[in-house]
Amino acid sequence: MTVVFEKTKGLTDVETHYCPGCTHGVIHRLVGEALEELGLLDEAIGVAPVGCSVFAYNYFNCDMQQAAHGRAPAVATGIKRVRPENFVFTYQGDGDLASIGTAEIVHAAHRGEKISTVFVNNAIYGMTGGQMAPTTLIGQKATTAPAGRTVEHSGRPIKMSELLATIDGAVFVERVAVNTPANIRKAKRAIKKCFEVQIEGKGFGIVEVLSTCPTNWGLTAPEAMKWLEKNMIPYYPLGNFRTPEEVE
Amino acid sequence: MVVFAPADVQELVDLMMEGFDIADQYRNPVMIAGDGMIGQMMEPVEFKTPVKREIGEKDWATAGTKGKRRPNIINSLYIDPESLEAHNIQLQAKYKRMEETEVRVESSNLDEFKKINKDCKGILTVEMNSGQMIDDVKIAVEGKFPVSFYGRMGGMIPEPDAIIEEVKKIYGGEI
Repeated sequence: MTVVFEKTKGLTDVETHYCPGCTHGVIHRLVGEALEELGLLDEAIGVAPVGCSVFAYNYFNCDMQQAAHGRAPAVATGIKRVRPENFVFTYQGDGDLASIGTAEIVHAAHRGEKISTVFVNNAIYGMTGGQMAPTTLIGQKATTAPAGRTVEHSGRPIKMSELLATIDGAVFVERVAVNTPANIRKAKRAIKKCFEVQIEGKGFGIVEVLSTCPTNWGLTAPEAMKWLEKNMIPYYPLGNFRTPEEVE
Repeated sequence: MVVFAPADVQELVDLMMEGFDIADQYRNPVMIAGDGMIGQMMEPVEFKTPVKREIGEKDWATAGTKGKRRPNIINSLYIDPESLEAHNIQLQAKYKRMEETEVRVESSNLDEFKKINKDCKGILTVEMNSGQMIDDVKIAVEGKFPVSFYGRMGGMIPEPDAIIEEVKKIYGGEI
């Protein structure tokens, strides 16, 4: 029998705790595959966030640390500076990276830390029960914005990729989504490219992945994919915002 | 936690050097409890060679598996109560080891304190705050004598005359 598909060695056999329909599973697989295909598993040290993906340390098949909320880039900075020969990455959600951890991600990028960040943006606080995040869209309902987010009260959603692309130390910035097979393939290419930037010692790299949260959006999994496409992509346009060539 | 309270700048330097090794040895925070006085003091100090400690092999470290071992995970999150209890038991054993090995204090006039007899009318606690240590003094006295308090705040230093006035009040039965 011919093997046409098998699970990546980049993930452990631990059963994940993610809700049905959540795209963290897809993104984990892409990161695991990228680590495996680039031969990084033996050298990789990952830093898990606080939030839905806090248990990422049980799922990636490499050395892992878990940081305080939002501080993954600071912890990764310490690891990379002590062990520059290792590959160091953070895996963070939007509540972690774009709210309490804004200072850490901005300054890690500004210092040009040679680390890679996978930033999973599902426009809401998932683990804590669907509260409004800085990334929550205008009009989107959340438990702390039952009538929907308004500009007057909360300002507009923060666009982290655009923000980080203004920083010289961030040499690779790309936003992708995992709502269609084509977009999943593009997301994997971006994650691999981002990791290669670190291997080549060029500076900080981040891939923002637009993700779904059917549970807290109150939608079925297929509806959530459609909602992402209809609402998130127009506000958070996909594409590359920075490559090392542009920086040079 | 290991907490060091240096008495002068030389001790501050010595304990700081040792503090790093102790933190490394036990994988535990070490606190140097300085104060405003030490923080602003200037003294000549000697940088001594720290005593070497047996830190042990760091087989727990995340340095990349090199394909030779299972992944190491560094975290402080234990959702399963059974594993959290096991972790706590391990921590308590470590704290006991730290207490047995690292405690060092210098005492002064403690024997005099033991000589206090039943004629004592009370004990005055003098502090530069609103009374942080008064409960500890009461616990130490075990209810044998009344404990009263005199404190200044904001960095104001209690003057000898003011303390004597407080003592007179105790002696005169005013407090």
